[in-house]
Amino acid sequence: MQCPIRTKENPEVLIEYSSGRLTPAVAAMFQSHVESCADCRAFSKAQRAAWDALDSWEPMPITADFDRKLYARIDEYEKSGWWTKLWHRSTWQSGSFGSAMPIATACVTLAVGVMLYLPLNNKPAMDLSAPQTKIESSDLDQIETTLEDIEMFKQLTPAAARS
Amino acid sequence: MTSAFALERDAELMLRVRDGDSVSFGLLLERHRSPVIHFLYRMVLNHAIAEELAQEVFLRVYRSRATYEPTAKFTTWLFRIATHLALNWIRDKKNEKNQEQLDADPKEGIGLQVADVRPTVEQTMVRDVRMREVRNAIETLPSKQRAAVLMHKYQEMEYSQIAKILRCSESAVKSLLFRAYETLRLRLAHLA
Repeated sequence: MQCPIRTKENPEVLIEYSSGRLTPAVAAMFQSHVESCADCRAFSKAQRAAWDALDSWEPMPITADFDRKLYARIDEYEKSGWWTKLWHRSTWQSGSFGSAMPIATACVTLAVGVMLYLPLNNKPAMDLSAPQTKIESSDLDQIETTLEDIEMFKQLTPAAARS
Repeated sequence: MTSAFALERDAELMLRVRDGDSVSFGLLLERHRSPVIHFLYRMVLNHAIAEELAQEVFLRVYRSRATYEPTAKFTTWLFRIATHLALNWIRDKKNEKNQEQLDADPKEGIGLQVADVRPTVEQTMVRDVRMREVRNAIETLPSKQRAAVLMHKYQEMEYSQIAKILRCSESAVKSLLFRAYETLRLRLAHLA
């Protein structure tokens, strides 16, 4: 067997060996190499030490109200505007995100149009304390979250998803 | 490690969620709550933030249930969302040096988890120091290397799955892991 340190080929085998994740056959083969190779032996010893140290890092216990908070957020989502859900459905149903950009463009155009239209007609400026405005502000948050979701799912290419 | 059975089970549950079965969503939550929260905790090193991000992960799963198709491994999808959120959070907070570490004292967690064995003061101190060293070593890793190590070490994921989650090639994952473990070996050598 060739030394992965000297040849710099498949160095990951050292990590897998040290963590005990090689198949028994490969591990046995590598074991005989390690016994005769000081470099691999030193590497393996150091890697095992690091691996053991990582084992000692215990996670924190989960808080008791985690589920309650999550379901509260889900309820909040369920009570959100119908168009938010429609947005999700229209962009994700086909698995294609091509339709997302025209919809986003249309929304932005509409928003800009409304903003430009209002001052021209001498309508009073929006009262930020008004209840209706609060709803719109909440909707804008949802748009932002939705756009972020779309950006993330865009990254999941069909090729990656199939494999 | 996710077995073929587990994959089928997750996909099956998610398909039921798609059909409106809230019980199945609860089962999925039960199966993946801890791994996701623990992964996020080790990524962001703050328990409160980790739980908040984990809620966002499951909320996104719920929101996208209507269009779910079992074309990818469920855990790949789940951890992709989790990793995306964690990396964004780390990026956003990168320059905030004095971010609050709500769970800076590891004693809190250990006390709750080890109920039947009462370690001596000395043992507790040694373990606290060890955990802090590990935590600090992980913190020094660049965020992508950190994500790769956590998925490899604690979620026992294959290179191919990590590659899909991080959107890079398998060889890039191997390189990330090799460099990350190199750093960890150097920083944790004294704990051997």
